[in-house]
Amino acid sequence: MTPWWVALPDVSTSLQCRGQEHHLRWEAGALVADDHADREAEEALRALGGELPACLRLQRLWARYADDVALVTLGRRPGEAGLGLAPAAVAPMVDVLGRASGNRLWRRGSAQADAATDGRRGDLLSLLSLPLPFIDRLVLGVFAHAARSWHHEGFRSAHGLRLGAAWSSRAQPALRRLGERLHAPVAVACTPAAPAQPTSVRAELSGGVLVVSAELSPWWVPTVWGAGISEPQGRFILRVVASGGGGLAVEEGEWEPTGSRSWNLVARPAHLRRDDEGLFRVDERPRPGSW
Amino acid sequence: MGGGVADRRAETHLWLLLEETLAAAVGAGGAGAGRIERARQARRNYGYVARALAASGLVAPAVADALVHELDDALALRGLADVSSFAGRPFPVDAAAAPATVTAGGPEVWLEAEIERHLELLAAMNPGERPGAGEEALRILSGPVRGLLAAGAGDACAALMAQLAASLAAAGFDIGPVATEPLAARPEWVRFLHDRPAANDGDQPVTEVGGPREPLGALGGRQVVLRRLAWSSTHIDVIVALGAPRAGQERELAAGLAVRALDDRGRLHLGLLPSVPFAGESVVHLRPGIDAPVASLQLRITAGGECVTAAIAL
Repeated sequence: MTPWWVALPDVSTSLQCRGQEHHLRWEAGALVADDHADREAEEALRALGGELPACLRLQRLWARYADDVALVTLGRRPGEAGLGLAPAAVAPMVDVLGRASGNRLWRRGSAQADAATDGRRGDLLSLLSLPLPFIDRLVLGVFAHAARSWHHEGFRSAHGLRLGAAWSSRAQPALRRLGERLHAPVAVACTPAAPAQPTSVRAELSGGVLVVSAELSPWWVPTVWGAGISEPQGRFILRVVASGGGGLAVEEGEWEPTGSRSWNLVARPAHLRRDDEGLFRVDERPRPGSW
Repeated sequence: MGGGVADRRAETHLWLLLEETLAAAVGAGGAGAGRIERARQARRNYGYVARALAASGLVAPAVADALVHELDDALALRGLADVSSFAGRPFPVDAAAAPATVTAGGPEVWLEAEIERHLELLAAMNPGERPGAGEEALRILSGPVRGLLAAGAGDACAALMAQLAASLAAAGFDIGPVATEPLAARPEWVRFLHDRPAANDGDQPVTEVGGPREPLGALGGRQVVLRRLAWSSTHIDVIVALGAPRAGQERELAAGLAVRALDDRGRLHLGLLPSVPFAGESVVHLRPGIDAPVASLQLRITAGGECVTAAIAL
């Protein structure tokens, strides 16, 4: 299967770590701390009572929260320009060990529970004060984890309602525009597809309203929407099939009538290629063969 | 209400509403202060729906509380709430998978008491001067009612809202476009709104009668005993005692107690106890008082989606 991050460009940032400017990179789904070649030695020093460098602490938090589904509720929605916490605002709220401090007014739990919550709060404050492209990739990684775990009944029972709402809110605007190619007004109903099932979309005209019913594959959000390739040049991309040569083999959806007032979205092969600005565009040139 | 996704309709509604609320808050645009105020209003509305579904027994209180905190965190991340309000609390997955405390008829009980709480507020307003207050009350209540309907607490709640709309209209308030066909007005609601009884001005009750010896039932896991009723022409004091909750059965009475009494002349008397002690005796002031011969009162005390009732001969 194509890695979920294949259409996402690498990003990097700099930060102060032990009094020096260090660099963090996100690449191929992972956070990389370039300036800490001997991570194991630094972790060992920390075990002996030393302080973990900022880069490694963020790397450790990244791994710890890579499957925390609460992040999908915090992450960006369609059309949202930006979010994130200003590091200057967060700094006074996190101590040197990364625990949150202050604002205990709402606490009512045990001291142990409060300490755990302080830890989580501090961790999230630190992660969410990273630059926006990093927050986006962290959240998309959680979406990918959710897609991988969707076949577990226990996972669906615990997180299905949150994820269903989160997937739907990301897909609704694109599905609405897809429906408007046929008719307006449009009402969209979007539910998660059954495990291992692809995205399927139907439309039916009912009482003057086009009802678009989508069963969305959990992979659509991290691989298509999150990569910004859901609607290149007004097309609707269903999934990424393969990558290579600076391009992506994808399936796009096209409406096919199934009656006088009903349509199914059928998958057709297409190819996306990066333009000079790094954006994926539909390659209209005929391609030999298919994948 | 079981543990599967299919029958967690109230929780489903809260997740979808969270997304809707966030989209509205984010998409509102406009200048900074106005945008933040709109976000605050959206957050208040969301909290109201969450509390209503929890109080009605349709969603576990821990889940409703956690969802409100998650919305707060999402707003803080967008600069629409102070960053210090970011809680980062873990979501109580176990509570989500466990059944909520369901009381038969809980949604209707909660809604009727909530409507009557609004009637108390509206009683301070002259419909001639504030005709829009009726439409505003319907708009405010429509959020929780939408949640109750989505959770499957259907016809009875819709009927209560239709009766409220008709009663407000009969009392002279504008009701705007209403979602359902107004049913017949409730005479006791219309009369309460017409009379606009004043709040207790401090005069002492001059007549009183003892309550039944047996407890009326339980609210929030606490036995409720009606000690006595005392009244004057302006108000009725209802003196109730709450027993200590049995271990493991206590539930918060965060929304307080709502007390209503309907006398045998068809007049409604309403009062609230916003803050309920853990256990012990409390006095709830109802208005109006009793200024004409009355033989009996039908008393109902509500906490969230639970209520106890008593018929009292005076």
